[in-house]
Amino acid sequence: MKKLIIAFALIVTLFPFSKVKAQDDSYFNMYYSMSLATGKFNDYMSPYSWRGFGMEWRAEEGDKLMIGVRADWNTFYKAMDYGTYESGTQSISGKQYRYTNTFPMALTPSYYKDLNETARFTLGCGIGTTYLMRDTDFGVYRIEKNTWQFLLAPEATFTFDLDANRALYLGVRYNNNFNSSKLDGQSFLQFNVGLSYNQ
Amino acid sequence: MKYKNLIPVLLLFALTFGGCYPGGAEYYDQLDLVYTNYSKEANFKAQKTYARPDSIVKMSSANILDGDGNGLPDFVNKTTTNLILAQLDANMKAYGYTKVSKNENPDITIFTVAGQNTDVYYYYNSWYWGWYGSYGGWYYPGYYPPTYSSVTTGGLLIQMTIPKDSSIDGTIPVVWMSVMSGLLESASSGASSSRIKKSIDQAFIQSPYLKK
Repeated sequence: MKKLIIAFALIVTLFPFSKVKAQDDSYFNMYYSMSLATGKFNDYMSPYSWRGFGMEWRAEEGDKLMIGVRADWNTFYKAMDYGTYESGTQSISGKQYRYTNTFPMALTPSYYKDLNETARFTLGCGIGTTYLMRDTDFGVYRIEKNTWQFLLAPEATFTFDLDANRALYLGVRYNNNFNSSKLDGQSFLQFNVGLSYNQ
Repeated sequence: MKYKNLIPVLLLFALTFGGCYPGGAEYYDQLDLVYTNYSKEANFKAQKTYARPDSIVKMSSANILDGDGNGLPDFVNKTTTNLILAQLDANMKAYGYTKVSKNENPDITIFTVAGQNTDVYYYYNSWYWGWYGSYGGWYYPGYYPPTYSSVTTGGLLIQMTIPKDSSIDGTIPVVWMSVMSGLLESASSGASSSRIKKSIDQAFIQSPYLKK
C-alpha cells in the first residue's frame, strides 16, 4: 500500500507542473470524494464518509466516447456503542472501532455530450476491482480482513470550464463491489467534487 | 500559474490524507473486554452454595519460573484482591448463591487468577523517511526520531467448577468462565477500581443463566 500511496502523491504533486505537451483531448481529474455506504456495507459501517480522494485520466476517442483509468481512496469509520456479542454459549462485551479503507480502481469507458461551449456531461461505467482493508479494533485486539472485489461502477459527471485549461468537476458514482470469499460486496455511492485539467 | 495549480492539490491533501484510522479509543476503559462461556450440561439452578480462596494467584513469566525460588506462586496484593473478591461475592449473592467455607462441601468452587503482560512497540516509519529524506534533512513532523512506547495489559480469569461433578480420573470440569482484559493503570487509582467492578458486574450481566 505504501507504494500505491507514494505513486498517488507523486502524481498529484507533480502533474500540474508537467512540461510535457499532451494532446488537447485528454483530461486529468482530481477530486474530493464523499461517500455513502449501501447494503451490507451500510449495516456494518457508518454510512457517511467524508474522507476520500480520487484521480482519473481520460481521453476522447471520437465525438462521443471517452476512455480512461481512475483510482480512488475512501475511508469509512464507525465507533460502536459498548455492546455484547454472542455466539453459542460465548458472550463478549466491549467497544468496537470499525475501519474500512477502500481503493477502487477501474477502466472507465464513457459517453460524453457537450451541453454548451463550457459544460460537458458524461455517462459511463467503470470496470475494475476494489482492494478493501477492513479492520475491527476490539479491546487491545485488531481483526483484519483484506480482500479484492470485482467492481462495476456506473457514473455520471459534469464539467464546467473555468478557463482554457481547467474545469470544475462534479460526479456521482455507484461503486458496486461484488462478493468475495472473505467479505460480502462492500458497495457505496460516491459524490465527487474537484478539478479537471485539460492537457 | 504554478502556485495556482498547487492550491487545489494541497487542499485535497489537507481534506483527505488524515490517515487510514480517523478515530479510536481515547480512554483506558474503552479497551476493556469481558468474555464469558459456560457448559450447556451444567445445572446452575440446582447449586446453592459456593466457596473460593481468599487469595488471587498472580500469573507472570517470573511466577511460572519461580524466580524467587520459594516454590509458591505469587499473589495479587491485598487491596486489589479484596476489591475483586468483594465484587465477586456481591454478584454471587445477588444471583442467589450463599458463600460457605471450603470445608462445608460447597456446590461450586470459584478460582480467580490475574495476569499481566507488557508489550513494547518500536515505531520507525521508513516510508516517510524514503519520501522526505532527500529534502535536506527535513522530516515529517511527529515521525522523527523513531519512537517507542509500551503498553501493559492485564487480565482477570474467573473459573467456576462443580466439585461433585468431578470425573473418575479426578478432573473437575470448568462449567463457567470469564476473562476480563484491558490496559492496566495504577491499581490504586479510583478509575482502576471502577473498571474492575464494572467488568465483574458485566460478566454476570451477560450470564443470566447463572441466576437462580
